[in-house]
Amino acid sequence: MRLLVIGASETNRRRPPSFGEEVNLSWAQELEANTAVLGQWPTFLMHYLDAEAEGIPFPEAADLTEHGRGLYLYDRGAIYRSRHSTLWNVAMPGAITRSCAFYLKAHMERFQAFAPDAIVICVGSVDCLEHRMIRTTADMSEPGPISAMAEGQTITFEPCQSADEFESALTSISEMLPLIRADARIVHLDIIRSRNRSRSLNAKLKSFSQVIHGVSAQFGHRLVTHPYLDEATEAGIDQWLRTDDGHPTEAMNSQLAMQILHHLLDMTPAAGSNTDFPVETIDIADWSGRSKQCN
Amino acid sequence: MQLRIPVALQDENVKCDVRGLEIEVGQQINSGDYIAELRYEVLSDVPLDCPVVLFGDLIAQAGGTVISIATELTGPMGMVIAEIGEETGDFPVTFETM
Repeated sequence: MRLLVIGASETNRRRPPSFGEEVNLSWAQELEANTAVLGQWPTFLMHYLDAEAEGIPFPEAADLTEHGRGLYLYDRGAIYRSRHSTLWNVAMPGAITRSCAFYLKAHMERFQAFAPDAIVICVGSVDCLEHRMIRTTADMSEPGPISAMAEGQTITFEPCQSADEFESALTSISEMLPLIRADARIVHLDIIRSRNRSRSLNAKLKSFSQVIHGVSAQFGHRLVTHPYLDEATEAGIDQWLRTDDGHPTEAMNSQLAMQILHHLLDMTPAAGSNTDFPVETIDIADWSGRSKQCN
Repeated sequence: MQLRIPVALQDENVKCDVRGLEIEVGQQINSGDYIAELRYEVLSDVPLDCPVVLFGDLIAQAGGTVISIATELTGPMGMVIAEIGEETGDFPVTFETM
Protein backbone atom coordinates (compact mmCIF):
# COMPACT_ATOMS: atom_id res chain seq x y z
CA MET A 1 0.00 0.00 0.00
CA ARG A 2 1.47 3.31 -1.05
CA LEU A 3 0.38 6.35 0.89
CA LEU A 4 0.94 10.03 0.26
CA VAL A 5 0.30 12.29 3.24
CA ILE A 6 -0.08 16.04 2.97
CA GLY A 7 -1.11 18.49 5.64
CA ALA A 8 0.25 20.26 8.69
CA SER A 9 1.84 19.44 12.04
CA GLU A 10 -0.93 17.11 13.16
CA THR A 11 0.55 14.85 10.51
CA ASN A 12 4.29 15.62 10.49
CA ARG A 13 6.16 17.76 12.99
CA ARG A 14 9.43 17.95 11.12
CA ARG A 15 10.10 21.62 10.54
CA PRO A 16 11.20 23.09 7.21
CA PRO A 17 14.91 23.68 6.52
CA SER A 18 14.72 27.48 6.65
CA PHE A 19 14.37 27.30 10.42
CA GLY A 20 18.04 26.44 10.46
CA GLU A 21 19.97 23.33 11.33
CA GLU A 22 20.61 24.34 14.92
CA VAL A 23 16.95 25.08 15.65
CA ASN A 24 15.80 21.94 13.91
CA LEU A 25 18.28 19.73 15.73
CA SER A 26 17.11 21.24 19.00
CA TRP A 27 13.50 20.66 17.98
CA ALA A 28 14.18 17.05 17.01
CA GLN A 29 15.70 16.48 20.42
CA GLU A 30 12.72 18.17 22.10
CA LEU A 31 10.33 15.91 20.22
CA GLU A 32 12.37 12.93 21.34
CA ALA A 33 12.16 14.07 24.93
CA ASN A 34 8.47 14.91 25.10
CA THR A 35 6.94 12.39 22.69
CA ALA A 36 6.64 8.70 23.39
CA VAL A 37 5.58 7.64 19.89
CA LEU A 38 7.32 9.72 17.25
CA GLY A 39 5.78 10.51 13.90
CA GLN A 40 2.14 11.27 14.77
CA TRP A 41 -0.60 9.08 13.24
CA PRO A 42 1.41 7.98 10.15
CA THR A 43 3.64 5.90 12.44
CA PHE A 44 0.62 4.12 13.87
CA LEU A 45 -0.86 3.63 10.39
CA MET A 46 2.27 2.05 8.93
CA HIS A 47 2.34 -0.49 11.75
CA TYR A 48 -1.40 -1.12 11.54
CA LEU A 49 -1.07 -1.86 7.83
CA ASP A 50 1.74 -4.31 8.57
CA ALA A 51 -0.26 -5.98 11.34
CA GLU A 52 -3.38 -6.18 9.18
CA ALA A 53 -1.46 -7.76 6.30
CA GLU A 54 0.19 -10.31 8.55
CA GLY A 55 -2.82 -11.07 10.70
CA ILE A 56 -1.09 -10.16 13.92
CA PRO A 57 -2.44 -7.95 16.73
CA PHE A 58 -2.26 -4.21 16.25
CA PRO A 59 0.61 -2.72 18.23
CA GLU A 60 -0.12 -0.58 21.28
CA ALA A 61 1.54 2.79 21.76
CA ALA A 62 4.02 1.16 24.13
CA ASP A 63 5.11 -1.17 21.32
CA LEU A 64 6.00 1.76 19.08
CA THR A 65 8.11 3.84 21.41
CA GLU A 66 11.36 2.89 19.72
CA HIS A 67 10.13 3.47 16.18
CA GLY A 68 12.31 6.09 14.55
CA ARG A 69 13.86 7.12 17.84
CA GLY A 70 17.09 8.94 17.13
CA LEU A 71 15.74 10.11 13.79
CA TYR A 72 13.77 13.23 12.90
CA LEU A 73 10.59 11.89 11.31
CA TYR A 74 9.37 12.36 8.57
CA ASP A 75 11.83 13.71 6.02
CA ARG A 76 9.82 15.12 3.11
CA GLY A 77 12.67 14.18 0.80
CA ALA A 78 12.35 10.48 1.56
CA ILE A 79 9.85 7.67 1.24
CA TYR A 80 9.55 5.36 4.22
CA ARG A 81 8.98 1.69 3.55
CA SER A 82 7.81 -0.89 6.07
CA ARG A 83 6.92 -4.50 5.34
CA HIS A 84 3.53 -3.75 3.83
CA SER A 85 3.31 0.00 3.44
CA THR A 86 5.25 2.69 1.66
CA LEU A 87 4.59 6.14 3.01
CA TRP A 88 5.63 9.55 1.74
CA ASN A 89 4.78 12.23 4.25
CA VAL A 90 5.19 15.72 2.82
CA ALA A 91 3.14 17.42 5.51
CA MET A 92 4.80 20.41 7.17
CA PRO A 93 4.19 22.27 10.44
CA GLY A 94 2.15 25.40 9.93
CA ALA A 95 0.98 24.30 6.49
CA ILE A 96 -2.15 26.07 5.38
CA THR A 97 -4.42 25.08 2.55
CA ARG A 98 -2.93 27.34 -0.11
CA SER A 99 0.59 26.18 0.64
CA CYS A 100 -0.51 22.56 0.28
CA ALA A 101 -2.07 23.38 -3.09
CA PHE A 102 1.19 25.01 -4.15
CA TYR A 103 3.20 22.01 -2.97
CA LEU A 104 0.99 19.54 -4.81
CA LYS A 105 1.29 21.46 -8.02
CA ALA A 106 5.03 22.06 -7.67
CA HIS A 107 5.83 18.37 -7.12
CA MET A 108 3.06 16.87 -9.24
CA GLU A 109 5.40 14.85 -11.44
CA ARG A 110 7.16 13.34 -8.43
CA PHE A 111 3.87 12.41 -6.80
CA GLN A 112 2.73 10.90 -10.10
CA ALA A 113 5.90 8.81 -10.20
CA PHE A 114 5.17 7.61 -6.66
CA ALA A 115 1.64 6.61 -7.77
CA PRO A 116 0.07 6.36 -4.31
CA ASP A 117 -2.82 3.98 -3.72
CA ALA A 118 -4.22 6.46 -1.22
CA ILE A 119 -3.72 10.12 -0.43
CA VAL A 120 -4.49 11.43 3.05
CA ILE A 121 -5.02 15.14 3.26
CA CYS A 122 -5.37 17.23 6.40
CA VAL A 123 -5.89 20.93 5.81
CA GLY A 124 -7.94 23.77 7.24
CA SER A 125 -7.25 23.58 10.96
CA VAL A 126 -4.20 25.83 10.73
CA ASP A 127 -6.02 28.30 8.48
CA CYS A 128 -8.56 28.77 11.25
CA LEU A 129 -5.77 29.87 13.60
CA GLU A 130 -4.82 32.57 11.06
CA HIS A 131 -1.19 31.62 10.63
CA ARG A 132 0.57 33.19 7.68
CA MET A 133 3.16 30.84 6.29
CA ILE A 134 6.46 32.11 4.97
CA ARG A 135 8.46 29.53 3.10
CA THR A 136 11.72 29.64 1.16
CA THR A 137 12.64 27.84 -2.01
CA ALA A 138 14.63 25.39 0.12
CA ASP A 139 11.53 24.67 2.23
CA MET A 140 9.42 23.86 -0.77
CA SER A 141 12.14 21.92 -2.57
CA GLU A 142 12.89 19.15 -0.10
CA PRO A 143 11.70 16.41 -2.50
CA GLY A 144 13.64 18.03 -5.34
CA PRO A 145 14.00 21.23 -7.38
CA ILE A 146 10.85 23.03 -8.46
CA SER A 147 10.32 25.43 -11.31
CA ALA A 148 7.70 27.46 -9.45
CA MET A 149 10.29 29.26 -7.28
CA ALA A 150 13.59 30.88 -8.12
CA GLU A 151 16.74 30.25 -6.11
CA GLY A 152 16.55 32.10 -2.79
CA GLN A 153 12.95 33.15 -3.21
CA THR A 154 10.45 33.48 -0.37
CA ILE A 155 6.70 33.08 -0.65
CA THR A 156 4.15 34.14 1.94
CA PHE A 157 0.98 32.07 1.97
CA GLU A 158 -2.12 33.65 3.46
CA PRO A 159 -4.61 31.53 5.39
CA CYS A 160 -8.14 31.09 4.12
CA GLN A 161 -10.15 33.60 6.15
CA SER A 162 -13.62 32.40 5.33
CA ALA A 163 -15.43 29.19 4.50
CA ASP A 164 -15.87 30.44 0.94
CA GLU A 165 -12.13 30.95 0.54
CA PHE A 166 -11.47 27.56 2.07
CA GLU A 167 -13.99 25.86 -0.21
CA SER A 168 -12.31 27.38 -3.23
CA ALA A 169 -8.85 26.27 -2.12
CA LEU A 170 -9.96 22.78 -1.11
CA THR A 171 -11.83 22.35 -4.38
CA SER A 172 -8.68 23.34 -6.23
CA ILE A 173 -6.74 20.66 -4.36
CA SER A 174 -9.45 18.07 -4.94
CA GLU A 175 -9.34 18.75 -8.67
CA MET A 176 -5.56 18.22 -8.66
CA LEU A 177 -5.52 14.92 -6.76
CA PRO A 178 -6.75 12.72 -9.65
CA LEU A 179 -3.82 14.00 -11.68
CA ILE A 180 -1.50 12.25 -9.23
CA ARG A 181 -3.28 8.99 -9.79
CA ALA A 182 -6.78 8.74 -11.21
CA ASP A 183 -7.94 5.87 -9.01
CA ALA A 184 -6.17 6.86 -5.80
CA ARG A 185 -8.40 6.75 -2.77
CA ILE A 186 -8.59 10.13 -1.11
CA VAL A 187 -9.11 10.44 2.63
CA HIS A 188 -9.72 13.81 4.25
CA LEU A 189 -9.22 14.41 7.93
CA ASP A 190 -11.92 16.67 9.34
CA ILE A 191 -10.95 19.87 11.14
CA ILE A 192 -9.17 19.17 14.41
CA ARG A 193 -10.64 21.66 16.81
CA SER A 194 -8.28 23.74 18.92
CA ARG A 195 -8.38 24.48 22.60
CA ASN A 196 -9.34 27.95 23.80
CA ARG A 197 -11.82 28.96 21.16
CA SER A 198 -13.72 32.21 20.98
CA ARG A 199 -17.32 32.10 19.81
CA SER A 200 -16.21 33.37 16.43
CA LEU A 201 -13.40 30.80 16.08
CA ASN A 202 -15.78 28.05 17.11
CA ALA A 203 -18.19 29.06 14.36
CA LYS A 204 -15.32 29.27 11.88
CA LEU A 205 -14.08 25.78 12.74
CA LYS A 206 -17.58 24.43 12.21
CA SER A 207 -17.97 26.22 8.89
CA PHE A 208 -14.61 24.89 7.65
CA SER A 209 -15.62 21.41 8.77
CA GLN A 210 -18.81 21.73 6.75
CA VAL A 211 -16.70 22.63 3.72
CA ILE A 212 -14.63 19.46 4.14
CA HIS A 213 -17.81 17.40 4.46
CA GLY A 214 -19.25 19.04 1.35
CA VAL A 215 -16.15 18.83 -0.84
CA SER A 216 -15.35 15.24 0.14
CA ALA A 217 -18.95 14.24 -0.68
CA GLN A 218 -18.83 16.13 -3.98
CA PHE A 219 -15.64 14.38 -5.10
CA GLY A 220 -16.42 10.97 -3.65
CA HIS A 221 -13.63 11.15 -1.10
CA ARG A 222 -13.55 9.43 2.28
CA LEU A 223 -13.80 11.44 5.47
CA VAL A 224 -12.38 10.85 8.93
CA THR A 225 -14.35 12.73 11.57
CA HIS A 226 -13.52 13.24 15.24
CA PRO A 227 -16.78 12.95 17.22
CA TYR A 228 -14.92 11.85 20.35
CA LEU A 229 -12.97 15.11 20.25
CA ASP A 230 -15.84 17.36 19.25
CA GLU A 231 -18.00 15.99 22.06
CA ALA A 232 -15.26 16.00 24.69
CA THR A 233 -15.65 18.18 27.74
CA GLU A 234 -12.90 20.63 28.59
CA ALA A 235 -11.66 18.12 31.13
CA GLY A 236 -11.95 15.22 28.72
CA ILE A 237 -10.16 16.97 25.87
CA ASP A 238 -6.79 16.24 27.49
CA GLN A 239 -7.17 12.64 26.40
CA TRP A 240 -7.12 13.73 22.76
CA LEU A 241 -5.08 16.95 22.59
CA ARG A 242 -1.74 17.45 24.29
CA THR A 243 -1.76 19.92 27.15
CA ASP A 244 1.57 21.48 26.12
CA ASP A 245 0.99 22.33 22.48
CA GLY A 246 -2.50 21.20 21.52
CA HIS A 247 -1.41 18.55 19.02
CA PRO A 248 -3.07 15.11 18.99
CA THR A 249 -2.09 12.77 21.79
CA GLU A 250 -0.96 9.21 21.19
CA ALA A 251 -4.53 8.10 21.87
CA MET A 252 -5.84 10.38 19.14
CA ASN A 253 -3.05 9.48 16.73
CA SER A 254 -3.90 5.83 17.26
CA GLN A 255 -7.57 6.59 16.73
CA LEU A 256 -6.89 8.56 13.53
CA ALA A 257 -4.71 5.79 12.13
CA MET A 258 -7.34 3.16 12.85
CA GLN A 259 -10.05 5.25 11.20
CA ILE A 260 -7.88 5.79 8.12
CA LEU A 261 -7.03 2.09 8.04
CA HIS A 262 -10.73 1.21 7.87
CA HIS A 263 -11.04 3.38 4.78
CA LEU A 264 -8.24 1.38 3.11
CA LEU A 265 -9.11 -2.20 4.03
CA ASP A 266 -11.24 -2.96 0.98
CA MET A 267 -8.58 -1.76 -1.43
CA THR A 268 -6.36 -3.93 -3.57
CA PRO A 269 -3.09 -2.03 -3.83
CA ALA A 270 -1.40 -1.86 -7.20
CA ALA A 271 1.22 -4.51 -7.73
CA GLY A 272 3.87 -1.89 -7.18
CA SER A 273 6.02 -2.87 -10.10
CA ASN A 274 7.30 0.67 -10.27
CA THR A 275 9.70 1.20 -7.41
CA ASP A 276 11.76 3.77 -9.23
CA PHE A 277 10.73 6.43 -6.76
CA PRO A 278 11.63 10.10 -7.23
CA VAL A 279 13.27 10.41 -3.82
CA GLU A 280 15.34 8.09 -1.66
CA THR A 281 13.64 5.20 0.05
CA ILE A 282 14.30 4.51 3.70
CA ASP A 283 13.64 0.96 4.81
CA ILE A 284 12.34 1.03 8.36
CA ALA A 285 11.91 -2.73 8.79
CA ASP A 286 15.24 -3.12 10.53
CA TRP A 287 15.26 0.05 12.58
CA SER A 288 16.44 -0.65 16.04
CA GLY A 289 16.74 1.89 18.77
CA ARG A 290 19.03 4.84 18.48
CA SER A 291 21.12 3.63 15.59
CA LYS A 292 20.90 6.91 13.69
CA GLN A 293 21.30 10.54 14.61
CA CYS A 294 18.86 13.39 14.24
CA ASN A 295 19.63 15.25 11.06
CA MET B 1 -12.56 52.66 34.63
CA GLN B 2 -10.02 51.36 32.21
CA LEU B 3 -10.88 48.36 30.11
CA ARG B 4 -7.63 46.48 29.54
CA ILE B 5 -6.66 43.47 27.47
CA PRO B 6 -6.49 40.72 30.10
CA VAL B 7 -3.19 39.06 30.86
CA ALA B 8 -4.07 35.57 29.62
CA LEU B 9 -0.60 34.15 28.91
CA GLN B 10 2.54 33.95 30.95
CA ASP B 11 4.77 34.89 28.03
CA GLU B 12 5.84 38.51 27.97
CA ASN B 13 6.08 38.90 24.23
CA VAL B 14 2.48 38.57 23.12
CA LYS B 15 0.58 40.44 20.43
CA CYS B 16 -3.15 40.75 20.97
CA ASP B 17 -5.79 41.69 18.42
CA VAL B 18 -9.13 43.02 19.60
CA ARG B 19 -11.81 42.12 17.10
CA GLY B 20 -15.43 43.11 16.71
CA LEU B 21 -15.42 45.58 19.56
CA GLU B 22 -19.18 45.84 20.00
CA ILE B 23 -19.36 48.98 22.09
CA GLU B 24 -19.79 52.66 21.22
CA VAL B 25 -19.15 55.89 23.10
CA GLY B 26 -22.19 56.74 25.21
CA GLN B 27 -23.41 53.17 25.28
CA GLN B 28 -24.47 51.62 28.56
CA ILE B 29 -22.59 48.40 29.27
CA ASN B 30 -24.18 45.84 31.54
CA SER B 31 -22.59 42.99 33.41
CA GLY B 32 -22.54 39.91 31.20
CA ASP B 33 -22.41 41.86 27.92
CA TYR B 34 -20.17 40.56 25.15
CA ILE B 35 -17.51 43.17 24.39
CA ALA B 36 -15.07 41.72 21.85
CA GLU B 37 -13.13 38.75 20.56
CA LEU B 38 -9.45 38.56 21.52
CA ARG B 39 -6.70 36.74 19.64
CA TYR B 40 -3.34 36.37 21.38
CA GLU B 41 -0.22 35.25 19.54
CA VAL B 42 3.07 34.53 21.27
CA LEU B 43 5.90 36.22 19.39
CA SER B 44 9.22 34.45 19.35
CA ASP B 45 12.67 35.10 17.95
CA VAL B 46 13.02 31.36 17.45
CA PRO B 47 10.80 29.91 14.71
CA LEU B 48 8.02 27.86 16.23
CA ASP B 49 6.42 24.60 15.13
CA CYS B 50 3.07 26.37 15.08
CA PRO B 51 2.97 29.74 16.85
CA VAL B 52 0.97 29.60 20.07
CA VAL B 53 -2.35 31.37 19.67
CA LEU B 54 -5.25 31.80 22.02
CA PHE B 55 -8.76 32.92 21.11
CA GLY B 56 -11.48 33.96 23.54
CA ASP B 57 -14.21 36.46 24.32
CA LEU B 58 -14.17 39.50 26.55
CA ILE B 59 -17.27 39.65 28.76
CA ALA B 60 -18.20 42.60 31.02
CA GLN B 61 -18.44 41.89 34.73
CA ALA B 62 -19.79 45.32 35.70
CA GLY B 63 -21.90 48.11 34.28
CA GLY B 64 -21.07 51.61 33.09
CA THR B 65 -21.22 54.10 30.26
CA VAL B 66 -18.57 53.99 27.56
CA ILE B 67 -16.55 57.20 27.68
CA SER B 68 -13.91 56.52 25.06
CA ILE B 69 -12.55 53.79 22.85
CA ALA B 70 -8.92 53.41 21.79
CA THR B 71 -8.12 53.81 18.12
CA GLU B 72 -5.36 51.20 18.25
CA LEU B 73 -6.78 47.74 18.86
CA THR B 74 -3.63 45.68 18.46
CA GLY B 75 -1.06 45.64 21.23
CA PRO B 76 0.34 43.97 24.32
CA MET B 77 -1.58 42.42 27.17
CA GLY B 78 -2.68 45.07 29.65
CA MET B 79 -3.19 47.70 26.96
CA VAL B 80 -6.17 49.98 27.60
CA ILE B 81 -8.82 49.66 24.90
CA ALA B 82 -11.65 51.71 26.42
CA GLU B 83 -12.77 53.89 29.33
CA ILE B 84 -16.04 52.83 30.91
CA GLY B 85 -17.68 54.73 33.79
CA GLU B 86 -16.27 57.61 35.85
CA GLU B 87 -14.70 55.49 38.58
CA THR B 88 -10.97 54.85 38.79
CA GLY B 89 -9.30 51.49 38.42
CA ASP B 90 -9.77 48.66 35.96
CA PHE B 91 -13.12 47.79 34.49
CA PRO B 92 -13.83 44.16 35.51
CA VAL B 93 -14.03 41.67 32.66
CA THR B 94 -13.62 37.96 32.17
CA PHE B 95 -11.81 36.27 29.30
CA GLU B 96 -13.91 33.30 28.31
CA THR B 97 -12.95 30.44 26.02
CA MET B 98 -14.87 27.45 24.71
